[in-house]
Amino acid sequence: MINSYDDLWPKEFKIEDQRTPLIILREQATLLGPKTNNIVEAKVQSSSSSSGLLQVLFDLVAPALNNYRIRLFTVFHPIEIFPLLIRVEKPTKEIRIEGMDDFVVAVREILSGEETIKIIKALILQSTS
Amino acid sequence: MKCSFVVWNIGRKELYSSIENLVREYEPNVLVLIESELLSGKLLQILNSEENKFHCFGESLAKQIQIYFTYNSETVNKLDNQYDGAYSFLTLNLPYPMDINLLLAIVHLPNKKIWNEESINDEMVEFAIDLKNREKEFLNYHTIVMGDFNLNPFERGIVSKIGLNATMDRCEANKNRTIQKKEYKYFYNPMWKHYAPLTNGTQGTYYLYKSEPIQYLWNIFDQVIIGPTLLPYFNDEDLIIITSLDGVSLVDLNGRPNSNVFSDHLPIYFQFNFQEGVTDD
Repeated sequence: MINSYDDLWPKEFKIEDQRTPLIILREQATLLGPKTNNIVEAKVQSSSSSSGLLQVLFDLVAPALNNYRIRLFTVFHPIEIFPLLIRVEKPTKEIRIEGMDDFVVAVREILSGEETIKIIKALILQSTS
Repeated sequence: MKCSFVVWNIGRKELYSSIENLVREYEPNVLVLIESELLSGKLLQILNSEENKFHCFGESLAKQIQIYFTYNSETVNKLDNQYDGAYSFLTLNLPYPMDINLLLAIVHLPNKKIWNEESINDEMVEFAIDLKNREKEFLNYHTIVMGDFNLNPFERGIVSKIGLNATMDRCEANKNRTIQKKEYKYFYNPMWKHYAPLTNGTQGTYYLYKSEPIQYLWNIFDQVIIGPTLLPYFNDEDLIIITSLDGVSLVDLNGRPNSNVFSDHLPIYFQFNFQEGVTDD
């Protein structure tokens, strides 16, 4: 017989992986400034979208150009995190990601990609000339 | 833990290497440049060539004001200001262990070649009203007003009850002033003592010779004026007018700003010590 004072919850909530996409992206964002003498910075914002998914926006900002801001990509994910969707702005594409390892690979490809490098170099050039 | 500032009206000169020397020597946390047309990106490259310390404040500020700071970008925010012509308001939220919120007012009033003294004083009254409103909005913030006022510490816009009501007396600055049964909060103006000549002859931040009956020659247009709540963290000895950088003099043989090479204004440096109170007022 279950009494009203029995603890019906599981014994513990063990979290295997402490890192979420938001944490990873924030870490990456802090690394850009030092590579560009803080001429180009990366900014991460999180919010909930109208569809109920959580979204994380990853932008590049050039303070010397009156805080010119350009979106690199957006991550949409449910509360369970995976599977998630990355919407890349340039070139426009959407990537479905099933797990954390794939997420890291995809983010690396975007951040080190030709288009991103082109944008950052352009921002640096225009900020310094 | 110190929070230090340098304010310099660079007179639209391309003083990249002088600023580099200034930053290396004085290590300010906040660098305010007035009448600056410098390329922010280029200056950031220079300031961050050895260590990525400085960020540039990206939003547009009152005319030709640029701000660079060593704190995280999120620490500095601009307040909406419809009067963005002569001054801008910012908040600086210094994190633990300083844990203190500052309301910064950066001022660059029109100079006396363009506006007469009465007009500049009137503009100060407008600013003072705006500042009071900001202080009501940010009640737990501590106020610092800095910049090129184009007014001396003794001029009406600075000392008047309807202006900044800034006094040279540190003790009085902690009290309110009552005039016609109405109370007015003081600000503290530490600049007065800097009229005393330095050994090189400098007696202010700006030298102006005019052929007219009343002239002061030496002026202290570049000032910092401090809200009384910051007095425990401020030591008068921590405010100086900078007259040389890396051994190179910014002034001529008479101690006057060498405007041929550098700016016609001298920079000022000041700091606050936030982890421990400096004086017991």
